[in-house]
Amino acid sequence: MIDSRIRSALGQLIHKCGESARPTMLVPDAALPLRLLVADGHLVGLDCGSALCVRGLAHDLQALLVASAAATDPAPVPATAQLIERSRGPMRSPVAEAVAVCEAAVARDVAVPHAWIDLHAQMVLGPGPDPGERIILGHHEWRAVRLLLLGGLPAVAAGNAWHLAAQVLRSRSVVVAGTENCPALTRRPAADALSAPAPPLWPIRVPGATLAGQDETPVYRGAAAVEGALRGELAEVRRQAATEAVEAPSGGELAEIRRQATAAAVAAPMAGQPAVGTDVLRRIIDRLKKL
Amino acid sequence: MSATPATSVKIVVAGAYAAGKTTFIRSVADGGVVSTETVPSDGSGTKATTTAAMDFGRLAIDEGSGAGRTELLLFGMPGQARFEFMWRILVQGALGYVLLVDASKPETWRETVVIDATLAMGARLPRVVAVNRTGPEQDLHQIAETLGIEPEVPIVVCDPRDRSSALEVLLTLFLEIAGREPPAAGDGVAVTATGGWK
Repeated sequence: MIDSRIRSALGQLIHKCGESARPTMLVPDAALPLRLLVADGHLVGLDCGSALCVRGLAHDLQALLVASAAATDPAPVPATAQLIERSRGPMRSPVAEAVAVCEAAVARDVAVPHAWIDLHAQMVLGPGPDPGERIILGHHEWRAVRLLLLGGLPAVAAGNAWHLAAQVLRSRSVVVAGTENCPALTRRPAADALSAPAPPLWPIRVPGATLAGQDETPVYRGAAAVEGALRGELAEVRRQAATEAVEAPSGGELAEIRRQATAAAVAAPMAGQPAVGTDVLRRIIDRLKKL
Repeated sequence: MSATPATSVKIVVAGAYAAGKTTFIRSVADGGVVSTETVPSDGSGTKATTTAAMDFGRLAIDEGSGAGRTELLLFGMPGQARFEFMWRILVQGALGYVLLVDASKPETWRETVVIDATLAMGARLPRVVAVNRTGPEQDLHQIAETLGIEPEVPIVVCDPRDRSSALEVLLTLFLEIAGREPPAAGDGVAVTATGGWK
């Protein structure tokens, strides 16, 4: 059962979105930004824009994809030409390809599946970080492209409504990033932060995407503006990553974390290990030794 | 893809963010890693579909057909604790897990400990600890002790970029699994007797 206060907080948030002069935005409390990401007509993610949230969001979306493909073939991705239903001429870059799909999405109600977004985010930004690479930047850059492609629905939660909204979204199986570690969401904003300018917004509508039944007015800035915004966003996330530091835990802290996690795991056991014949294990072991 | 179902053995590759899970799966899997395929961007437009990027790959164990064919399914598991609900999905049917630890980033060990405690105690799965990015002065057993991992759990150095290194990790895991499996009725051969690694 959802707490009525939580339901009310999310309702207010959505209501504010609907009342905004630009329906895909909520006039911000700039110190507590909230972004709602929509794809395939579903609200799929939410983050505050901080580095930790963004990192989590990249994992969130990937986790959803992994779960959807569990023990099955990976989800097929339509080719761009197929997606936009026209013979695609040469694209000068993967970014241009992404922009073409955004244009088609806005103009002709083309649904953009998660799989296409994930794939093309990688095409734009590379296959993802390898050991030794600047991993955090890689995932931040993913964020920028995800926002570009998913069509971020920027919004801002007032006061402490973010946490409550997050709980509601979780209750609807929406993955919510950032609540554990997010510095922006775990402290009250400084007074000067309240006057800070709002973050760049990309109100690109994904057809079919609605927020609690609201039919957002498409607002699309065109390819040049989107690419410009992308560059600005990348610069910002690089700046964020450079200024953030994470402390190493002490041994005592790790022991306490393990104690708590163990207690929680024992209280809620997971599915048991399946039975596998020794002949199968033997074949696997023999094969691994020969590879 | 064969229409006849194979024997699929599921293994989870777990670890904190950026521990090397994706790289590990890419190194080991033989063609089924979805992240390696891309749609041509040169305008040729000849390929209608491709696959999306995610931590999932297959490793064929034998080339047999029908029920005799065996394959490993490798699933990368998202690291953060808030994905605990996802862990429950991913570990269903898993035979064991690889716990990847980034020795160079102790700040990620909080996540590592939560994952390990949850899978080890919640799912009771056999595991191997694979330590990535070790320095010359780092002691694996010291790392294991700091993480609170039991002394009997195998711990090995792993470079996920190196296929042979990743395969050794899997071999260690299956030897561990075999050591915990009771012999099947009528099967007098202990699986562990086929070991001998290292």
